[in-house]
Amino acid sequence: MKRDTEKCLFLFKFVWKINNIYVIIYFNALEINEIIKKEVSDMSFIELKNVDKTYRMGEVIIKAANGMNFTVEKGEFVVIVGPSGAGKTTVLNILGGMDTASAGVINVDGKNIAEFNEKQRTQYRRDDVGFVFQFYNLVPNLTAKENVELALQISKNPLSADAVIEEVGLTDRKNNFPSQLSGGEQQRVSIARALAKNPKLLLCDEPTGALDYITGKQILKLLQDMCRKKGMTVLVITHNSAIAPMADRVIKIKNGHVSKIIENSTPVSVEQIEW
Amino acid sequence: MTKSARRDFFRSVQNSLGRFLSILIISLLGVLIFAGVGSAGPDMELTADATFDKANLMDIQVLGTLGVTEDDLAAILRVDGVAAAEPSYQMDMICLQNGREYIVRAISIPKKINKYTIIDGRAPKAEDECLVDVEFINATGYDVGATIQLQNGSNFEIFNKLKNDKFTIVGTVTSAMYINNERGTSSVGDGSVSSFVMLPEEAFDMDSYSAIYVSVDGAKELNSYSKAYREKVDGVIEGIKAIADERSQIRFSEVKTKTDDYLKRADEEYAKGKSTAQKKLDDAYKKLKDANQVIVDGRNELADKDEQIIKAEEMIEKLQGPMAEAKVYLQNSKKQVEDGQKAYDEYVKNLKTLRENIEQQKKELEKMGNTDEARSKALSIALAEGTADEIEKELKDAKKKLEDGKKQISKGEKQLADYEAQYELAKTAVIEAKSQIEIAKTRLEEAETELEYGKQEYSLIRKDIEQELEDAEKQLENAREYINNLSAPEWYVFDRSSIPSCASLDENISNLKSIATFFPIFFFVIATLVALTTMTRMVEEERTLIGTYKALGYSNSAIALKYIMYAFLASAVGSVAGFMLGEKLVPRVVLQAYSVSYYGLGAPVIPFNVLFAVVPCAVAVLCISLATYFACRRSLSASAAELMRPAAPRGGKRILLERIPSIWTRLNFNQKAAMRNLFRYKKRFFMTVLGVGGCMALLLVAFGIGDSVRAMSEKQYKEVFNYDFTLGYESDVGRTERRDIMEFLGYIDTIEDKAQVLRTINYFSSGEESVNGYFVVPEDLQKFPSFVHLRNRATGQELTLGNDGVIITEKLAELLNVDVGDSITIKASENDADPKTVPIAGITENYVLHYVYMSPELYEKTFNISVPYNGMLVKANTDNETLFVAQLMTLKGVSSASTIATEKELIESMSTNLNSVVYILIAAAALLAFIVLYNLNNININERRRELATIKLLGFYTRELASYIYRENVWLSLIGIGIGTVGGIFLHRFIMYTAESDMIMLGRQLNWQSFVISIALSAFFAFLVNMFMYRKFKKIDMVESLKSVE
Repeated sequence: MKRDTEKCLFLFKFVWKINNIYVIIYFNALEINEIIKKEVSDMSFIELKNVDKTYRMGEVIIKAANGMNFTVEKGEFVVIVGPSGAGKTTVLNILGGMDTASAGVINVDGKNIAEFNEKQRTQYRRDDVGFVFQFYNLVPNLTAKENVELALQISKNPLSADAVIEEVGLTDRKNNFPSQLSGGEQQRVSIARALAKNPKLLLCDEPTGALDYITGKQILKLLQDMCRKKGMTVLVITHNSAIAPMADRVIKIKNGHVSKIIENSTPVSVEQIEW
Repeated sequence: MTKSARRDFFRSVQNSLGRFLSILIISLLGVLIFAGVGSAGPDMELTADATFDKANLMDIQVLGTLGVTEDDLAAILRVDGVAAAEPSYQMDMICLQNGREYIVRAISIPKKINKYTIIDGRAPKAEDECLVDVEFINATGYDVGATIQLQNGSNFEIFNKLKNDKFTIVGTVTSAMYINNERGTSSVGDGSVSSFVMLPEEAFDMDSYSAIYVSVDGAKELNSYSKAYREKVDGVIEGIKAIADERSQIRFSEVKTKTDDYLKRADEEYAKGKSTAQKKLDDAYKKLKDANQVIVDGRNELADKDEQIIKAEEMIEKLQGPMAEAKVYLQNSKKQVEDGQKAYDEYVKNLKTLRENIEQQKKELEKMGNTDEARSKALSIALAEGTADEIEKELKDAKKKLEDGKKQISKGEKQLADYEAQYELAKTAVIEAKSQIEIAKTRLEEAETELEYGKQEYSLIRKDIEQELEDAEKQLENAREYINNLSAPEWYVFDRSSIPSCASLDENISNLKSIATFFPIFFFVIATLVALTTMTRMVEEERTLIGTYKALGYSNSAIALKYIMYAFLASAVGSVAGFMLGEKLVPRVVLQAYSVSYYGLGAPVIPFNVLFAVVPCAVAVLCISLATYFACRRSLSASAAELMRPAAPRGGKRILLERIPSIWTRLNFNQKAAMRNLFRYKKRFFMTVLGVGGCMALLLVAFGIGDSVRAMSEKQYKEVFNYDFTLGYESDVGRTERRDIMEFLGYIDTIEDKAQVLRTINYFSSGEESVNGYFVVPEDLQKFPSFVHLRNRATGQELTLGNDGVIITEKLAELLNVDVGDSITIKASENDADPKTVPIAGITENYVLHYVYMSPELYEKTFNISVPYNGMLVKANTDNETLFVAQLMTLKGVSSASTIATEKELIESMSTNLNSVVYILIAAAALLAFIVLYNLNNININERRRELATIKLLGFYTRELASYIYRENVWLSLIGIGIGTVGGIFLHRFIMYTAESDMIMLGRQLNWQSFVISIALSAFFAFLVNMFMYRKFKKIDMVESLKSVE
């Protein structure tokens, strides 16, 4: 990217030098156009630049995020790991439009959501982001299908509820209430609800945290499949670093900033991971 | 409690001060209303009891149909349980003031029982001094120092009268017997006693006492409204009743001896009356005869006059002939005399000439001297002289004749003048006589018409007198029959409920109590439920904390203690404050309001009522604490580990509606979700519906009270009663005076129509119950329906007054528990010895007071006398009612006139008085709506915080999030309003039924406007609370959704 800019500047200088203005300008206008286009398309899907988040708890100021920087490309399966209190949830809150950053830039698909107001953030949450929670957060009084429909009610271009439920493999149980479903099944409903909105980004907060090992694996598999099949960008926040090998990108967070980013060119399937 | 636990407790109170205060305030309100409204009734009883005790009000009164005597008094004093007894004289008298008759009850001044309170002035010292009721001053406008005159009210009082009829007012008083403005009824006049007058005992000249007042031993110490008091008094009543028969028998033999005398006197009176009447008739007849004689004389005189004229005319004719002759003769005579005169004059002239001639001849003769010539001359002279003398002589005769002729002419002239004078006189006499005849003729005609009128009048008066005599005879016969049939007198032994104002106070207290049992309980239950739900929620919220305490090794009871303490402290502080405020404040306000009409009540007695303090406090504290305990126990029964894990959310359930696919499939997603949520949170469903429904019901009642009162006055005075004024005759007017009044009213052109009626206050009974009301007998049945509209309220069917029975008003039928086909007993007074029973032919719509309508024919058949009409209903088109009434009052024989507008205003003022109740109800409704909805919404939002956070996170705008909850609230409110509407209709009906006194019937219908306003207000209150909740939705933190379930 930097090179392209230099090239551009160089070209300008060159053009001015040879004084062959008209022809060259025309030629270069095309060139510049292309360069700019390339630069934009080259911009990462998610980009956090120097994101700070400070809370005031009485007289104590807590820095939950302190110069957070990372990028995520479109269609990647990203795992964000770190110990408790490292700032994982802060990242999720800010990225999910639930909270605002104290400082910094958060670009998501070309827009800086840090500058969004309350209404825009709500719009962002309803159209662009899908959430998967640790405790599923299903509405207990709605059936599996109805929970999915709850999200569809407000979505711009939703998928069919039945289709999504089939994708998560719950067609048989779609008319059951959450209390009649196992934890894994509930999490599947939760995922279906998130997917049904057809979001650009799927944010998962400890999706396996309340599940047993095998079910947890199944859920992770489902998430990985969705990412691969649909090309959806999936961010999984977990304290379990064992699942890191399945990710395209692992972002390790410590004390409010990114301590390490590992790009994994050969992610493994979740079945091959044991923890 | 350990130190840390204590600290935790106080901090949790501090940190959740809102919740603590809300439980405190809810308990306070619940207990305040329960204790306050609940103790208002008992406090009123205590106040009344204190007033009665202070006045030493009688516990029992003994009345006898033939009076009670000194011996009876002694006998009653011997009855077991009688502490004291005091006899009293009573007579209903008429006091005239400004041409109005006031019926006043003359009472002998009480000594020890029924003590009065002097408001102004002093106690009487002399026999002709009296004390008067404050109402008397208000009604008549007399003042202390004035002298009043009392007349015997009944014409038939023989034995009983006052020694003196003039009294000086020396003071005004109130009596515990008359704590409001009700003074009871009387058989005198129109039947309503306006006030009482206390006279010294010596002023009465009665052969027996009217009543004996009894104080029961040990009754004063008891509350007059307690069961113990009633039992004690009932025991003594039984004791007195036991001696009643024996005493009555004794009295009977006493009276029997007097009755013969009475009859004799009545006969005498009748005879006297008859002869007076006869004399009156004779006088009238004589007058007629005289008038006739005058006419006859007039006629004779007229005939005489005619004759005189004829004679005069004859004379005139006779005079005319001689008069004409005399004239002619006179004329001739005159002419002759004139001619004679002329001739005479000529002769005189000639004579003179002759004489002159002679003189000349003589002179000439002298000159000539004695010649022949002279001689001849002298001869001729002598001859001439002779002739002249002769002529002179003749002339003398002629003169005399002429003179005679003249004399005769003057004579003739005189005679003619006489004739003429006579003629003129005769002519004038004729003219005069003719005009006199004219006058006499007119007079005669007048006299004839007068005679004709007199004849008519005479026949009418004769008819009247005959009728009156007949009536009197009938009455005498009735009296004779009555005396002949006279059986032993009866004693009536009554308790305090026989005192009208005590009875109406009782009724008011029981009304208050009946309303006081319903409202506070309703309010109290809601308040307790809300407090309870709040506490349960608190325990559920602190589940993890409970787990932690448990894990730390605290005992279950130690943990539960915190919550129970919390609940106990909040509810106990609230309850105690509630009952302290409620018991002192509410009864004071209520008593203040009642003291306006019950001005005789003493200072309010408002003790702390232990029952109303302990019961609601205990119930409130116990309910809330127990509920907390049970909530704790449920949580505590789980293991610590379980508690620290999130509670399994309650499962969703299919609702009944889903089994009806035709409806369910038609609902959209949001509606389905809302429906399911509605039925999921049953507690919330039930309580919100109760809250909103209660609010709706209270509002309906609030507006319905106005509707009912308005309906009452509207219907009574616009639809049922179509007359504008009532007019009462003086009690002694006869038929002739009545007709005069009728005739006179005919000249007032503002009067559109009038109907003569008999209108008295009587007692009506069937079986035990006895109710007083108006007894109306219209003269003209054809006309009557245009004055009073008789119709069945439910069916709208018109009723006509016939001879097969009476038509009675609805409320009366309800009170006496009678229907068409049953019969009703009409009594002149409560202890009338000669009641009449008649069948009921119809029941008519009526709202104010009671009426029994009877046809005149049936009256005559029943009472065996012709109807003694005593007043008139008048329809008039006038702007100034007061002036019109004053105008009517000036009529001779009219004792009272009143506009129906006054009554109407009185009734309408009731609705103004009720405004305060309406405001209280609206305030209570709003309070209820706010307490319930606010708390429930709060709990609902807290309970579903996680769900709401998730939904918010899913991208719902606050607006959409709110509508997710609001949709449920709207449904709940709608269901609540629906149930509240149904409940309100019944509640309104129930309250109207219990609130109406025996004298009125309130409308039972609610106007559609009231429904609309109530629904709108309920919806508005619900809306307001929901709007208030909106900021809560805004504050919901999405991050909460990420937290584990607490």
